[in-house]
Amino acid sequence: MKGYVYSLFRTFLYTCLVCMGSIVTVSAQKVNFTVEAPTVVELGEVFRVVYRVNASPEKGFEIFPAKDLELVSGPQRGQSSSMSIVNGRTTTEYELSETYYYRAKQAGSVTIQPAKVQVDGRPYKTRAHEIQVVESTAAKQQAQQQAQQNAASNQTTKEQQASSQNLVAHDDVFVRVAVNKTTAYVGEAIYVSLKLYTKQRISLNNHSYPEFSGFYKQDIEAPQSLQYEREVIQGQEYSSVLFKKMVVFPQRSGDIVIAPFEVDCNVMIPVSRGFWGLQYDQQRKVVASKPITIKVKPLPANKPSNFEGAVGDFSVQCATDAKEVSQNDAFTYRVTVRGTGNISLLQAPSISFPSDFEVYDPKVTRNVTPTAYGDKGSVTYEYIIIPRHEGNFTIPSFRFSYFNVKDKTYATAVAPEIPIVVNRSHNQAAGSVANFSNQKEEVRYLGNDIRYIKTSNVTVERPQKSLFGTRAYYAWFIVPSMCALLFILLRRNQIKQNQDIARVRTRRANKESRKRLKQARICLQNGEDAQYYDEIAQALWGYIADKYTIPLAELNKDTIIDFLQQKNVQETHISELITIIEQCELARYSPNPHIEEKEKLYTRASECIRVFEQNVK
Amino acid sequence: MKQMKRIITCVVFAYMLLAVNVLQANESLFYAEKLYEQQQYDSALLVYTQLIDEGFESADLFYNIGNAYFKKGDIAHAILFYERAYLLNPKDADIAHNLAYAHSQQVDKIDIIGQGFFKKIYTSFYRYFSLQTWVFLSVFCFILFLTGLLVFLLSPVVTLKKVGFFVGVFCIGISAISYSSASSRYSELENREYAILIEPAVSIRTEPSHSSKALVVLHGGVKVFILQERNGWYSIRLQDGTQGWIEQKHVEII
Repeated sequence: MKGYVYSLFRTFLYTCLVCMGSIVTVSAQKVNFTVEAPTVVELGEVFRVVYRVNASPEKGFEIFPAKDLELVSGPQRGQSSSMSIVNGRTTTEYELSETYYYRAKQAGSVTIQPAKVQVDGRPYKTRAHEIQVVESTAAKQQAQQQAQQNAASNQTTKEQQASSQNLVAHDDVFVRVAVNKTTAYVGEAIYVSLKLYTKQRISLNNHSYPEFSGFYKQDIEAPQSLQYEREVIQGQEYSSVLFKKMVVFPQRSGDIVIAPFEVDCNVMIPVSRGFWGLQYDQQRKVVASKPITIKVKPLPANKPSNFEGAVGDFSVQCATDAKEVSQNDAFTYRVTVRGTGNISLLQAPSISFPSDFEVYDPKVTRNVTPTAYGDKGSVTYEYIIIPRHEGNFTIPSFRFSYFNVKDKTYATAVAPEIPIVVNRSHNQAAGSVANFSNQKEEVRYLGNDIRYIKTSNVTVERPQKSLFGTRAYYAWFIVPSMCALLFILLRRNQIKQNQDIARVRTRRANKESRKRLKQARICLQNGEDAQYYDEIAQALWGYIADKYTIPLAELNKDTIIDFLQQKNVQETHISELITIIEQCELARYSPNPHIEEKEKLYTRASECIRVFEQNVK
Repeated sequence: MKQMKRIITCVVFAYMLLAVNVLQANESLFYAEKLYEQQQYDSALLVYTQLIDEGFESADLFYNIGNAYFKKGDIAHAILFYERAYLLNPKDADIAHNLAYAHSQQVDKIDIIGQGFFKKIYTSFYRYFSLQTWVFLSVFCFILFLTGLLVFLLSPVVTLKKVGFFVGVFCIGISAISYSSASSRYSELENREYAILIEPAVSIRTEPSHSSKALVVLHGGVKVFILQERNGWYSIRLQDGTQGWIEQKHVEII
């Protein structure tokens, strides 16, 4: 079994060696079947479509021409093969090509369907190719001019042609800068092509491209080697040389002039037919295009707040690579803006991520091809985000505003918000470190602005003159002071008066009591006993009442004792006074009083008053 | 009797007119709020200015006007009205915040020579109560003082005398402090000595004439202290101490 396998392998090896040694194995090579065509053409322009295959097919190419394309000439078949030996290895390349010349009949977009071919029994297909057909103003103008010229002065042209046989006719060689529109909005794509047309043979010396100041420009096609194509303009056949096709975006509003495109060339004018064929006279000529003024309109004023200059037609997409992440683990958030327009000029969008996210500057990937309607493709902004805290977060919906040139309005493409769940970190080490440091984070202030207006309880009033500083204010001090002063004075006066009355009474107390005592003495002599005792008692009562200005009605023995004790009168005096009064009362109602006692009572009373008068103030 | 009736009718009518006015003012305020909400700051300002023209004022009104100016981007006027609001109500946190924020947005950065420590304390003290409150306190405490005095002088009871004495001393102190506060606050409110530069850029000159030398170029929103007035010019002092002359029309008094 093993031997059999081995011999089989050996045979295969030999076969391979033989093959390599003899001729190149075509089958070993990979078959490439391609189509080559421009992406943007002008209406009426003749362009080439080339199909190539690097193998010999069994049959011819099977192509499916588009309806809107007019076949001008072709197919031209080409065949090439080359053989090279490098380090003893021989490679042979074989190529078969078919070239078709087309002219677009209608502006718009044309798709060249995939062509088919069969190689070694296996089918191969090209990919579909889309061509944009642009209507250029220059073409229109020229068509009009031609129509006028043809109608009006057929004769003159002939004459001119006749007379200027030796010279370069005026429109034999010319340069054209063609644009597809002369009015545009700021940021709107304008298609521009630079071409030279000639009827004569020419050799190019030099050319200078116009400066597109005020525009952002992007080349669609810039052939490395200039190629002559046949093109019919105004019914006349020209050779045209395409220098460049590009798309430009005006960057400011106003009239912007595209400077002339100048080409310096030598024109070969046939002079005479000599022995060696036609003799040519070289004539140097500098041809320049007319300057073109582009009217650039500013974008309408009602810009959305998040508008950042995108003009065209766009859609947006947002995605994260995870819905649920753990704390401190990075994830990516991807914003893709797809569409046609000034996509190369877009700036990274400002997205308000939750502030607990650590967001790094986005990685920008552009996948853009310039077309006549602007750059087509997509820009992807990839943010790497590290959530620093656990919780449920939401990346807000991304709103991308752009100016839609077709509708002449602002439109907003919206990608929905994305919820992100951040779980607590399972990484114990990280967690413990975080806990260990136990740092409090500063609260991050995202912005500052004025506070909102007062809406509730706003009251307005007419300003009132303040009380302060007015006469009324000072009156509030002066009037009460006066009142107080008056009150004090009055009260003082009254007190003084009262005091006077008291002093008079006190002064009179002794006199009055003596009068009473004298009266008592008279009564004693007259034998009116009751009267006598009464007078003595009255003299004492009256004396106390006058002396201390107490109303008589309030006097009785208890009150007198209390009062005199308050006045710090000696106990002996008080008891003496009380005994005399009691004896008087007793004697008044007793049937048999002693005469001496009567006399003695009188002296005791006068002695008591005298003592009071001396000792008590 | 008939005349009396007429007078009463007149008074009632005047009050009604005032009430109608206030009602209209409230309506205007509400309308202006709506306009502000819809970010139509110019229209809101028109309504507010009309209220001011009618003679109304309040700290909140000035504050709202300041906000509208700020939103419009007119920092100088915003500062002017915030300052006015702050003058009327120095205790409102919103007003103080917006004033500080507006000042931080202005072009010129002027080093402010700070007030002395005690002056600062005194300022915040006399601003603590409104002028009305100080006026009331000064009168009320004075009357209390008088009462205390009376008690002290006339009461026969010693304890009452003592109480009267201490109450009297305490109240006359409070009354004096209130009077001084009221006087400071009153002069602050009445003698408007500060002004805000309204023009976007003006040069301060050494003399009150255009031909004199320019000292410094100031931008809108700068607060200046007015020293004197002469032929349509103000002599001013900046908060960093610089003195100069400026035309009256370029500034607006707070």
